[in-house]
Amino acid sequence: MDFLIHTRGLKKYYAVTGGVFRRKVGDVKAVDDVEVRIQKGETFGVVGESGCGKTTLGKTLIRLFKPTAGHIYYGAPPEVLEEVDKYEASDPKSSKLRELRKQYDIATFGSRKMRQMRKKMQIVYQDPTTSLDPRMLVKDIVAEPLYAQNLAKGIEIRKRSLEMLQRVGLTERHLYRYPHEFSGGQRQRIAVARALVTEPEFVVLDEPTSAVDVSVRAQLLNQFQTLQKDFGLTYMFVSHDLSVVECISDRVGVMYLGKMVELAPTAELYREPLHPYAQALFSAIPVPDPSRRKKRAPLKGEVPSPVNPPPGCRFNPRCDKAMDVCRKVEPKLVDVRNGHFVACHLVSQ
Amino acid sequence: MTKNQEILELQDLIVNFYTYEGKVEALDGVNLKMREGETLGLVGETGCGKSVTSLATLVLVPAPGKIEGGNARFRTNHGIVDLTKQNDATLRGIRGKDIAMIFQDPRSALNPVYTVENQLAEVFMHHRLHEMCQRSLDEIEKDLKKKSSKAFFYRMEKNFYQKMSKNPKAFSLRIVSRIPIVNRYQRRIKKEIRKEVVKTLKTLKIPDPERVADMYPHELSGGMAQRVVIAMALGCSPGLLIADEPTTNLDVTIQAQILEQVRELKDKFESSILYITHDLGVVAEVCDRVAVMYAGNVVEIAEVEEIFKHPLHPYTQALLGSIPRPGKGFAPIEGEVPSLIAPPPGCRFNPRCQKGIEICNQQKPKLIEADKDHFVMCHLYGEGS
Amino acid sequence: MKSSRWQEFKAGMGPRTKEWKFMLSRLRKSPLSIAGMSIIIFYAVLALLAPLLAPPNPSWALYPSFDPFHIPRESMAPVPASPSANHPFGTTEGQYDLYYGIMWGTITAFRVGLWVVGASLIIGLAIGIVAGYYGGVIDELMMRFTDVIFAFPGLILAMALVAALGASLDNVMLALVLVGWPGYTRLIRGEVLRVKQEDYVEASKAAGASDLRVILRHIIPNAIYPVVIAASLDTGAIVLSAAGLSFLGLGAGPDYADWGQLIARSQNWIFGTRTDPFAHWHTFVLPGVFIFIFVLGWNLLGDAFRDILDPTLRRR
Repeated sequence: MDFLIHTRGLKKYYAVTGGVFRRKVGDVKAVDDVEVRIQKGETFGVVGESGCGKTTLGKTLIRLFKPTAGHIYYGAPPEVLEEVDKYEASDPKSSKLRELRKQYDIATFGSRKMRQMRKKMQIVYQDPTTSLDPRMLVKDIVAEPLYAQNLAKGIEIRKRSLEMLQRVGLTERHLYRYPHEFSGGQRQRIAVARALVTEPEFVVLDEPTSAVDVSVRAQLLNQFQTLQKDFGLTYMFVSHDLSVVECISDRVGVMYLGKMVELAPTAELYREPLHPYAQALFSAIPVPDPSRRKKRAPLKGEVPSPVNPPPGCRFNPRCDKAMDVCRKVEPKLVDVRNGHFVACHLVSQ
Repeated sequence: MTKNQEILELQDLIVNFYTYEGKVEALDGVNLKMREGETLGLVGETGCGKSVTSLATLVLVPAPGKIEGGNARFRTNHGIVDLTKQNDATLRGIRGKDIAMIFQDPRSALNPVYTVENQLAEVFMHHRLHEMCQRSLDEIEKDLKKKSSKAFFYRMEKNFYQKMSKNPKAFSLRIVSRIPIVNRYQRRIKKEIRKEVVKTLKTLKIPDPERVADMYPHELSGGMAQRVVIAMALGCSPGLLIADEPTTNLDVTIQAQILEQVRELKDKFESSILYITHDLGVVAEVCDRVAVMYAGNVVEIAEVEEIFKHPLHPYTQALLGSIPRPGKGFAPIEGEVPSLIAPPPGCRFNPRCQKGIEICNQQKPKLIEADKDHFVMCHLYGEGS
Repeated sequence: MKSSRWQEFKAGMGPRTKEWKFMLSRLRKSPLSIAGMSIIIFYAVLALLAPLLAPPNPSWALYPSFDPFHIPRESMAPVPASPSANHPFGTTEGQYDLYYGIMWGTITAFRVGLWVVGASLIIGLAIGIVAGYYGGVIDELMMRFTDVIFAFPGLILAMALVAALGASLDNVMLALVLVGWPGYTRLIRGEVLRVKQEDYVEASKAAGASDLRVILRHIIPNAIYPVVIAASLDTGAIVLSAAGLSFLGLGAGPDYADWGQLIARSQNWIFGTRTDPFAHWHTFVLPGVFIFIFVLGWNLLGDAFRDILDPTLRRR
């Protein structure tokens, strides 16, 4: 299996300062010890509510944020990964491991090395209104990555940006307009064109359909799939909209408060979510079919603050199946059957 | 009030916005009928005019918009009035009391410098003053019966409250309320109001209502803030509640909680709800009837099961078809929403409609009853079909 | 190839001219902003035509140290003369021709205003942008330094500089620059902090843009508008301050063509003579009116900019 991205113990904490001298009083544990493996060419979906860390995870994977701890192995062939696993288990301080990491672990890359990687990884933001510079013309917006990384010159730049724009369904006369002259769906397509103009391998789609209308959503999703086939892209699709994720993803992970609590192939997960939070999430989504109105009681309580997560399993205060062990020990993400991973004491028994 | 009476009727409502780029025909003859006690979902995409419709009902359309035609007939306790023809004072009496509105972003609907109690108190003082005064007077009677030494003060307070319930803006009251020690009489009504505030918060299942009443809006989470806003809206038991995408900004699990709440409260408060949203799932959960809007027109109205099972208007059909469903793929609607400055002639959906016939780009269709209690605005179901 | 470049340029200008037209239409709707613009244009024309309107005496050109900004005087008589055919605005104390002084004073006013504001902008923006963009310790150090400069009284500094380096308009301008730049620093830093957080800046970094590119291409164009407004308002204020300092004797020499200097020459005649309180009113009223209208013009222009450049009112 060719994993494009393989993370180990990925953590992203934000320091919380307080007091007169602005000392660090705590950490916002946005992403806490997450391990994901994304295969080449697949669409990896991540769902969860606001504050669960899915956006931070996506942005950390492409090194917009520097991880606090952990490793992100990018583009490492399977043999290398096996070796890394071996060394980490037996001799974590070996120099061979360090060498491998220097080559593949982008979590530690300096800014110069990172610049070469940037053209391989891109991101599409949620809100197309704020992700495009309102004072730039569309042609400059789409061409910017090419300029910034010196990937092409002169007429070549224009050719490539025009080609990308046409691929997302816009025309040449759209080049010379400002973003505010377009509708939400069109702006999102401009953002997609910008992300793809460097011909990347990996694209993080951060809730790209949340800010657009229902009918445009379908257009965009079709576009994403076509582009994935044409360019052989690997997607990480972050969203809180379960139905959209279901349609486009191969595998889906559910996050809660910085941790991955369930991970499975799409059909399997949607057929039978095992983690109590995932079950609550699925039952809370309103289905556009009035004959299936919800009879189950909604999940109680509010999402706790990520600065002081509850001890043990993070979901235990709201879980109606919580046992004693849940309050003390954090469950690990284990494979319960055929690639269906769950982090729950109840299930892993 | 008997059920099945109509509480709101919009007839051919026309709203235009005069902007730099031209006249935006936001509402092009909207027809809508709402029955008492029902939840009507108003569905449509961005720019279709659903928010403008709700603002027009309250005659709160911001400049440069103007209501330029049609009427909005609303049933109050005193009969049916045409809201577009009322003066400001009457409208102010209706807004908040007979028609209440809740908006999409709860935190911008709450004033950040006042506590929750203050904001609810403002609503109560404005619309339920008489009731509050009456309660204070009852308390005073109880105190007078005790025959304590403070009888003189109680009698003075009784005087004030009677005046307040008759004419809250009386000059004498305004003076008295500014004199430092004398204005302690207001303590009584403040106590009553606080009791009422806590009771309302409890009704909305807000945990620890005593503490929440003293909080400021920024200390509340999104879900709680929205519940406070709903409390403010329902506090006066309005006949009609207009909810403009109240759960769009909230998390899914919180949205489920609030939708559950809305269902319970509807029965308790006997309000009719106009629920505006673009999420068809939410519509299926809460609404009894659904009205679909496109480019400034209501194109279809029917019961919720009817609309999902047998959508008649091509736009509704396309909309339902574009919802992503696993295994079925998603069929997007081709084209873009038309510009409302130069809308297409005839039916506004015609350029994107797969089933258009010749008359569609010449004449605008009318909203007719194609099936029992199922209204469509489409030439395909015109006379003779 | 070349023709396509030109066509590309023209095409690129299309939407930009639409924006300019929109802004102009907003300007046209407000009479005060039209007034402001007309005033400034009027003064600019005056400044450009000053050598024609008030030509210096040609015979003087023979002198090696000729400087047209020195006002000609016919005699040394202390009492000012009323307006006459020879002297359209009359003369001030010491028989300096007021007309000549006011015309060439226009050039001086523009020179002082634009140079001081320009230099303050360069220093202030550089410090403010670096402090705002990089944050942390750099931000702290720079802002504390700015606070210190803020506390400096401009007048005292001007006097100190003059005492050290001699009285001249250039020294006054230097003093005004040294105390004027912190205002822009604070302003641009606030805007940079706001723009820094926007998604498109992060997207640009994700695309691999260097810091310099992000600052020049994204941050400055979006952060600059409040600074433009402040700068136009300041130009008038700077001219007023310079006039005040000249009045106190710290600025240009007694025969320099500077409005403040002209008013300084008329100190003794503000209340007229013992017999006639309005005698020689032209010596201070005329230069005063010119200063007043000049500053008013810049203030109105600044207000006009504020109204039209406000992005929240864009498409009304």
